Amino acid sequence: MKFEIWDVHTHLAGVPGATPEERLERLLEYADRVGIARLCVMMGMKWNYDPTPEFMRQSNDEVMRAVKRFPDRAFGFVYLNPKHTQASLDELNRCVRDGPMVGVKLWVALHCNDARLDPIVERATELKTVVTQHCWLKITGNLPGESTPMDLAELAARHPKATFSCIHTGGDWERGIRAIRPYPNIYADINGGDPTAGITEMAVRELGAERVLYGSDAGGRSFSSQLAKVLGANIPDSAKRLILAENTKRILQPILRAKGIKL
Amino acid sequence: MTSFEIWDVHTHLTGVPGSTPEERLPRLLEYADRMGIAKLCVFLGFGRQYDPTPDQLRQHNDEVLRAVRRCPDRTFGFVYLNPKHTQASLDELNRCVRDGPMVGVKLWVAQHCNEPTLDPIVARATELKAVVLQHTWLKITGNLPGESTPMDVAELAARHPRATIICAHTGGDWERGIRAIRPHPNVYADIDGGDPTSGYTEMAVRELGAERVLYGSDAGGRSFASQLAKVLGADIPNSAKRLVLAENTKRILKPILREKGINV
Repeated sequence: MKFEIWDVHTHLAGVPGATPEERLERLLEYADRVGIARLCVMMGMKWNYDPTPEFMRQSNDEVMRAVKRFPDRAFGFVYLNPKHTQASLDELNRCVRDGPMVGVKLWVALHCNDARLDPIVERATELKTVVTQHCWLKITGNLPGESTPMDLAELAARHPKATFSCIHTGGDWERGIRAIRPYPNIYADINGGDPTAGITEMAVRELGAERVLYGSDAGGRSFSSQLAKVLGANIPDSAKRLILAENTKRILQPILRAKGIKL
Repeated sequence: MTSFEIWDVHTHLTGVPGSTPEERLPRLLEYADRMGIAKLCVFLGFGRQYDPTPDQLRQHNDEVLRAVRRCPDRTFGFVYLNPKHTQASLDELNRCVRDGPMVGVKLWVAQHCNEPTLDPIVARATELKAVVLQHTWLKITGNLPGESTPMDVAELAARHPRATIICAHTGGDWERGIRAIRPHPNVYADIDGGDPTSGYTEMAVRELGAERVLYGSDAGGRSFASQLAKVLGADIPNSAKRLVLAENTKRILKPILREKGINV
């Protein structure tokens, strides 16, 4: 069975290459091995848990350089830090309103139930962009600012018109899926972690196939191991089609249309 | 993604739901169909005896025989033997391979495979044109008392250069396993089991040649999808993927399949 595949979660880190352009080219080469059509790319060549405004700009510049090289294959998401609210709003305007980016990426600087996220989420929603939030439930304890799916549930309750994705579905997905279940505006991005049988099946059963997104976390994880979660899942092909591309297409459609990008 | 023909050299009836062998194998094939896998090699019955008695061997093999008879176009049985019971193993080999539909031998963890007790079994399997698949692992926590390593397989293969020997799991610790079997062209690396680590298939192809690498899953213990990821995502040419995914297994089974009048 051949499916169209869009990957909602990839990075330039963990990929060889001296420039962002070289790295995205390599990433697309890996994606081609398993027939992935499009990649959403976020964060630059280096990691920073708590980026300064300057680091954010650099990170986003790297992603913009990369996606400008491959505009037909890759979409950029803007990396923000809610601790720097005004700088984040400026960056959102620069990269999304005035630039080619189509989504927001929030990582581990601040728990996402914090009130400082509100203006960012509001502005992202005005711009029709999705807000993707890293979430993990670590048995060894989260990082100080690292969000859980429960934090995201709080944020989503305050912003019912925003579109969120719960990145990694909390890692501990049996709890993560249940935490986001009541909020129809939260999507489960099942990327990262080992390809455990049952993750996709449970997400589809509890959330509906319309709320589950395939992502890989490449270069941190391989495309093929992450695709295995969906391709091997005990769900109908119609559900696989939604997860592998249709859902990501649908949530990106408003901003792609606003930018005049036809699919 | 290019579409490949896929044969899985390593599957089991354990870890699959169903109360009879005839129920379990169709379930396994249902999972295989999700990934487009054409044929499965199946071995070991319902129990997990590390050191089976002759009676238990017969029971295991009867279960596999029942299963593969239900799905003869999609599956091949391998006979489970225990070299500690040499004569019973030879009898079972004759019963299931010479006189039955099975096409390979499966050896697990009863005895290290460098023991001379394996010699008559490997010699007879080779006469019958059956492949010999030996479980191997290199465990940091220590192997089971009779659990073979790829180094044991290398010793066995050196004594039986005309036998076709499959190093199942490539030792788990595949960076050592691949090197241990490398000098012996009659040993094939079955890359099944374990996590889908990037680099595994690439190293096997680089060190052994794509002709000596076999895709297997260890399903129901591991998923077909996660194990296929090792090959489908690998940085190797499509021509190598074709060999690893089906052509090599076909080629090593061809002599016995031809003998049995099975065209593939």
